[in-house]
Amino acid sequence: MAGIKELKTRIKSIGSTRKITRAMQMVSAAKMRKSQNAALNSRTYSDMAWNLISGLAHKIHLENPLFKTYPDAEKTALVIISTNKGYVGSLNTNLLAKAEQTQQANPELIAELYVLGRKARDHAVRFNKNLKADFPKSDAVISVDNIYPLAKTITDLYKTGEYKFISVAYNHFVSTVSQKATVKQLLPFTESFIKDSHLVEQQQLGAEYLFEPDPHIVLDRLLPRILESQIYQAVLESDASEHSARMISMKNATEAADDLISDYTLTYNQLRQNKITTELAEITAGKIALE
Amino acid sequence: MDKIFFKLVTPERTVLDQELVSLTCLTTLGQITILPHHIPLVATLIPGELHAKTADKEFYIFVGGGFVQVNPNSEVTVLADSAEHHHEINEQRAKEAMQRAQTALADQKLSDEEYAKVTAALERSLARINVARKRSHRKNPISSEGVFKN
Repeated sequence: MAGIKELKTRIKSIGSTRKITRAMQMVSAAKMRKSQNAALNSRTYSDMAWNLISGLAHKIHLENPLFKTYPDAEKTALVIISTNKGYVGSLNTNLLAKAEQTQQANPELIAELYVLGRKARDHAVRFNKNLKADFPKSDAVISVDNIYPLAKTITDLYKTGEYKFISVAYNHFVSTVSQKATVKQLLPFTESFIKDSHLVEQQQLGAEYLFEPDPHIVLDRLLPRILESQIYQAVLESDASEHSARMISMKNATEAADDLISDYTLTYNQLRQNKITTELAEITAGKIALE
Repeated sequence: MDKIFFKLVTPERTVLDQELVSLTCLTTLGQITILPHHIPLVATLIPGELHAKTADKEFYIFVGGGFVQVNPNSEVTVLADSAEHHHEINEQRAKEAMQRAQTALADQKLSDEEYAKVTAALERSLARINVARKRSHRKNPISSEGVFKN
C-alpha cells in the first residue's frame, strides 16, 4: 500500500520539527526567566522613583517643561515596542491593533510613529504609516544606557511644543501565560497621578523632607530618570512578554507534534498489521490452492 | 541596636538590601554620613564611593550619581543611575572610558551639551577607578576617614 511509506516519512518529519520546537521552547524558557527577573527587578526602581517625586509634589509647585501641556498642539507621538522575530502567537497582532485603536481615538491629531523592533517597523512600512524613526532592538537583556537615545529623542520632541501627548505601546507582562497589550502615556507627566500617590504617602509618613541642594534641582534631575526608567521598564516588560509568549507557543507546537505523531503511528501500525494479515491470507490461500 | 533599613537600587537591579549601622555617601553639597534616626532628607549624589557599614561587614560601592532618600523610621534608599561593588569594577574598561573622554575633551569642537556629557563621563570613570584602586590591595578595609584623600 502506498500510504504506509508516506506515513512513515510524515512521522519522521514531524519528529524532526518537534525536535526544533522543543529546542526553541527550552531556549525561550531560559530567556524568559532572565527577562522576567529583569522586569521585576526594575519595577523596584520605578516604584521608588515615583515615591520620591510624590514626596516632592507637596513641597514645591511642579514646574518643568515636561509638566507643561500643549492643548492646541496637533500632533501625537506613539512609541511602539514590538518583537524582532515571530513565533510569538498573537502578541504583535494584539499590540498593533491596540496601537491602531489609540490612533483612531484621536482622529484630529496627526500620529507619528517611533518604533522599536522589526515587526512594528514592517507593519508601519506596509500600511504606509507616518513612521518617523526606527530604533534597533537588541535581543539580549539591555542595560538602561541603551534607552538614553530614545528617551532623549522623546524629551526633545515634547519640548518643541508640537505634541499634545507622547505615549508608548508595549506588551505588559502579567504572567507567563498572560500578556496584555498596553498603551501608556509618557508625557506630559500627569500631575493627578502624583497627587494621588502623595496623599497616600503623606498619610503613611506625615513627614517633611529636607532637600539638598534644593527641591527644583532634585526635580530637574529626577524627571529624566523617571522617563528613562519608564521606557526601560516598558522594554523589559515586552521582552518578558515576548519570551513567555514564544515559550508557550513552542510548547503548544511540541504538544501538537506529540499528538500528531501518536495519531499517525496508530494509523501506521494499523495499516502495517492489515498488510501482514492480507499477505498471510494470500499465502494460506495459495497453499490451499496447491494441495 | 538601632539600624538603618537600607536599599540600593539601579534601574537594572537591587544592588544591596541590608540593615546597616551607618551609610556614607557623596552628595552635591559634600560627603554625608547617615546614622539611624536621621531626619527625612532627599539629596542628589555625585559619582563616587558609597560606604555602607553593618555590624560586622563593610561594603564599598561605586555609585554613578543618583539620589539618596531618607524616610522617617530609618528607611534609607539610594536610587543610583549605576552602581557596582568595588570587586565588580572592571578597571581596564574604566581606564579606556577615561581615555576616550580625555581625547574627546582635547577636541575643541564640542558643543556645550557634549562638553557637559563628556565631563560627566570622565568624572564617572575617574571615580570608578579610584574606588577600584583603593579597595583592590587591601584585605582589611580602612575606616572612612582615609577614603577620599586623593
